[in-house]
Amino acid sequence: MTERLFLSGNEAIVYGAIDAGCRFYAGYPITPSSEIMHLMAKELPRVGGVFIQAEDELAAINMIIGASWAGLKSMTATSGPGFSLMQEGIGYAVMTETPLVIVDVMRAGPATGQATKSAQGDLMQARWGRHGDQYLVVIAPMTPQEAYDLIIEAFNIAEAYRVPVVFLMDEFIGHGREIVVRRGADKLVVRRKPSDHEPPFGSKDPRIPPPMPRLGEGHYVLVTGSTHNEWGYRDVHGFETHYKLVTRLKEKIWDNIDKIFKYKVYGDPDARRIIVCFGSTCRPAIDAAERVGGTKVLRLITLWPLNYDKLAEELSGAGKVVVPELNLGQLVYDVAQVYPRSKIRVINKVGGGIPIYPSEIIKVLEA
Amino acid sequence: MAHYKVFINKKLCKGCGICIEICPRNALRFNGINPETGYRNPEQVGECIGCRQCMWYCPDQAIVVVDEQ
Amino acid sequence: MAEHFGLKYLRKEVLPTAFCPGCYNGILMNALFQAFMELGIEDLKRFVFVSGIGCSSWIPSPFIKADSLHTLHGRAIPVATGVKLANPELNVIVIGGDGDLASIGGNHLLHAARRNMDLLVIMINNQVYGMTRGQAAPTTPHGMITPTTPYGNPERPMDVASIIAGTNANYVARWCISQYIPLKNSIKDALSRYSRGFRFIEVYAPCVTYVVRREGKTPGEKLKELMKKCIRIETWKNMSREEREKHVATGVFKAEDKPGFIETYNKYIAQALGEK
Ligand SMILES: Cc1ncc(C[n+]2csc(CCOP(=O)(O)OP(=O)(O)O)c2C)c(N)n1
Ligand code: SF4
Ligand code: SF4
Ligand SMILES: [Mg+2]
Repeated sequence: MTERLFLSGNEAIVYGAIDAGCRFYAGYPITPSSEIMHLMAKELPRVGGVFIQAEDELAAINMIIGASWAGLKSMTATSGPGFSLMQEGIGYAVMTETPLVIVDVMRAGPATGQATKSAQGDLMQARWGRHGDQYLVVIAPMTPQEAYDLIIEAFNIAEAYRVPVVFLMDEFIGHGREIVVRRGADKLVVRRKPSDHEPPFGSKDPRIPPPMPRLGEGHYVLVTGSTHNEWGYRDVHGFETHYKLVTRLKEKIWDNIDKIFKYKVYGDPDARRIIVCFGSTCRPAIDAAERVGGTKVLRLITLWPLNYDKLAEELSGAGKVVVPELNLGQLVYDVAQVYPRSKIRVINKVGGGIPIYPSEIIKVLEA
Repeated sequence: MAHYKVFINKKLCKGCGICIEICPRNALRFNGINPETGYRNPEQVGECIGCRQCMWYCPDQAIVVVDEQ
Repeated sequence: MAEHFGLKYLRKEVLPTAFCPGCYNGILMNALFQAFMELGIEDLKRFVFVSGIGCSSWIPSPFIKADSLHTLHGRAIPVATGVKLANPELNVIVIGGDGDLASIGGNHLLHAARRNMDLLVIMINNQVYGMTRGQAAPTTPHGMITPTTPYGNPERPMDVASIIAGTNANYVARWCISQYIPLKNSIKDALSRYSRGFRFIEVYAPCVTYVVRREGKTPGEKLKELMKKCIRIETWKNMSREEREKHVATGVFKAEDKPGFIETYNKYIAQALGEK
């Protein structure tokens, strides 16, 4: 079933999620993400799913946690202020290894900021917004088509690694409307259930996420956000249990980085002039590179975990590196880990719904 | 006539004394300290009428009242 | 030796519980288990317990032998809502503290009640934040000294049961921990006669460590005091203002059997989309 539809990124997310098997949505209205919620409210019941409007984002994130444990692929969508409210819940999902997808349609912050204006200011928050050591996956689409394709990928990663996945999308993409091919999912990851003596919160090989029991099937599962052993029993005192748990939760993601981390190169792959970007700044970057030639565009699809070795490899021998961002400089910190900061040129712009134009990038490339 | 016996599970009892204070017949008394838990454990010293209040109000599921008839 | 009726619903290997000696949480557990037993519930495989953070939130996790989600402070009700909506076949019970459910999670309590969400919520009103060492809660009596109200609590306590009775919730009751039989029967009702919609039972059970022992009383003495202090709401209503303050009004505040959220949601969807 392949359909050609004229969709915004927000709408594409809904169809992608449904094709990925998402059957539960809880959310709270917030611009510029609300269209996701509206369409979910309409479409989910048609496929036997459940939609609920939560009383706030604290409720929304926690409802999808409950639904996920009851066996449904679950998601929510929000924007800055709501994303901030969800952080504690996302940390809980990391700790309890609960598969979830959280869409953050980024608007200009901080605080209420500019609700309708695009931004990329939540990059660091998506990675590090919660207390404690915790690791999750962050993915950023570049077009409405990718919103469709990558949200399917986001569900697959969430299920495969038992981890919340943050889908970080600029408002420009959320509201941008284009032809989207609804091609269906190539493959869907099926949640692995435990056999008899398999613990739900531990595995010998940290790269293999433990199986996930489903509530109501006689596993007597103990889910807790407190430090727990592999059977879910709390241990809020011992070093051993805590250290083992948090390192496994990290390794589960970072030791699978080769499978999770994705990026794409555009323009001239051998060029020494390199633009590093994500999300909505990629198209102007690609456009600029094509217009002036002799430029490579390194576009990050996975923003976390970030494969710094790959990044270093791609930037080795670079001359000028340009990092355009719709914020005051966040991705630049990653680039600076593998390339001298003094040789990086940044383009920062945020607010008013003004994109970074190809001409501005060209100016910096040629300066 | 019914004859009731109060059993105390010494592994679970925390020596809170609720059973002793709640018993309408004063049938229970503390009897020394349990070296394994460090708590005082009650024992039955008087006649039990089988009202089961000690069983209901023991917060540690440590009491069973048995009709021995 | 005969086994206590509650033990088959407990994970024996983790007993005794972590609660202070005499903690009334254990009495609620007895009432709950006796309700299960009298309803002929053999095991809790089809039950899911959801709790937040606090001493009372530890009742299900890890002690009750059932699936349980020990969630964030205040967030038990939304998690339970998600579980129930995702699998309406499951019996979902929330157990938590007054701080957890009425303070930090108060908004969720109100809205789940408003929605008549198909959940049973049991709130232990122990008058304080027990786990964090006895600070004032929204239920702390006026004037009471706690670590955060060293000169006396300037606030007045929240009457949680009355507030919830003012929503669309189907069933609302309050019992003192000293009213074992009515409490047990109320839990039974909330799982049988009233098995849909939002059911809320407030259990008045002062924290034995930070309220009762601070008053210089033993848990047993306080229980006997509560037996006098806790009276039926009908009697309480006819008292003078002064007398009311000295008593706790208990009983069933509301008992209806309206369709819960899930039935209503499904009905609207079936109407709009037609049976497929
Ligand atoms: C967000 C957050 N804030 C504060 C705490 C600290 N905390 C843990 S338990 C608790 C109070 C619990 O009180 P209550 O819900 O009444 O339970 P009780 O211990 O009295 O049974 C608090 C404030 C926390 N865990 N999380
Ligand atoms: S009530 Fe239970 S725990 Fe307390 S002293 Fe009696 S037997 Fe022990
Ligand atoms: S602090 Fe209070 S509520 Fe907590 S276990 Fe002790 S007596 Fe019970
Ligand atoms: Mg409390």
